[in-house]
Amino acid sequence: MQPERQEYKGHRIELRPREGREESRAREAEREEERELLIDDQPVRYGQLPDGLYALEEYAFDWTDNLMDLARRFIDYRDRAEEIRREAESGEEN
Amino acid sequence: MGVRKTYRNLTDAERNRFVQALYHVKSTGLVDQFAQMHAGHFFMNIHRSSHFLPWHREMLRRFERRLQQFHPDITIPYWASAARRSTSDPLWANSFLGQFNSAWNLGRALGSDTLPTQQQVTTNRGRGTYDAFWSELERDIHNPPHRWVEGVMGGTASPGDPVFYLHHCWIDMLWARWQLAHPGAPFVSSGAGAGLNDPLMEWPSSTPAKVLDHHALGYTYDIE
Repeated sequence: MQPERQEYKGHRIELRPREGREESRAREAEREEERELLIDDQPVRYGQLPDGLYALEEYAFDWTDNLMDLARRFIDYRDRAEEIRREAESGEEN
Repeated sequence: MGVRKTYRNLTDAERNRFVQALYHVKSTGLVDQFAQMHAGHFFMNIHRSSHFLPWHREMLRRFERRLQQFHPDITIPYWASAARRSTSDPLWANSFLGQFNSAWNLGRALGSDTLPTQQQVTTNRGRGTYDAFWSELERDIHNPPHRWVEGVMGGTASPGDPVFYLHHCWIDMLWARWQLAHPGAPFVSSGAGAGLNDPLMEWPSSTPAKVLDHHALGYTYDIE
């Protein structure tokens, strides 16, 4: 399985086989579970719900069957949350 | 029988007692234990499963019992987020849940997403079968407030934020109200291990069948 990379709003998203695992897997479905997600070179932990949908441990209440799409949604969400925190901090200072 | 009510109807004394009880269970390690347990089971049958509602009902009941060891009259209040939508609502005042953001390092960013609407709640209430009800309730009404609060509440260890319990108390109330409106609707399993008599994660002596009747568990809601 080839790594999948994408640039999104100044962030790098990468889906790649976990090191040392890709050769030992015969079925595509099993390899699917062995992919590692990174955003800006930092690992992002995720899991699959009983029906196969993905969720991130840090962003656990948005579910989709497309891990790359979920990573983009997480980036948007994280940016929005950071903006809210900045506004709150600036309000406290003023 | 304990009466769970909206946090808006707590007296000052009840609110202060609830806050002190939260600090108490935090000091015993229970809050962190429940957060880790929830994270550990997150991708099992406690979400996206017909056990979603029964499992969280059992969890809240166990948490409430521990609060009642601090004071026997405590019940968990609920936050009806479809109605109480403001980031400056009294819920978030420093005299209530606001203080926990810094005290427990919760990293909240209130307003990070949209909250469910009253129309969604009303529509969901009219679903005629359990499987149609719980799946929509979980995805469209339960999920958004987790994202709206952000920080700890947005992750798999969300019970580390005390608002988790007020939010899930509301979800449990919506289930109880739906049950009362649909007395003949049977429990519908979503798959293997998620049946009426299958054990709940973490508490194998409990099953959905044992928690269907919330009155038998020792509490009622102010809307009944």
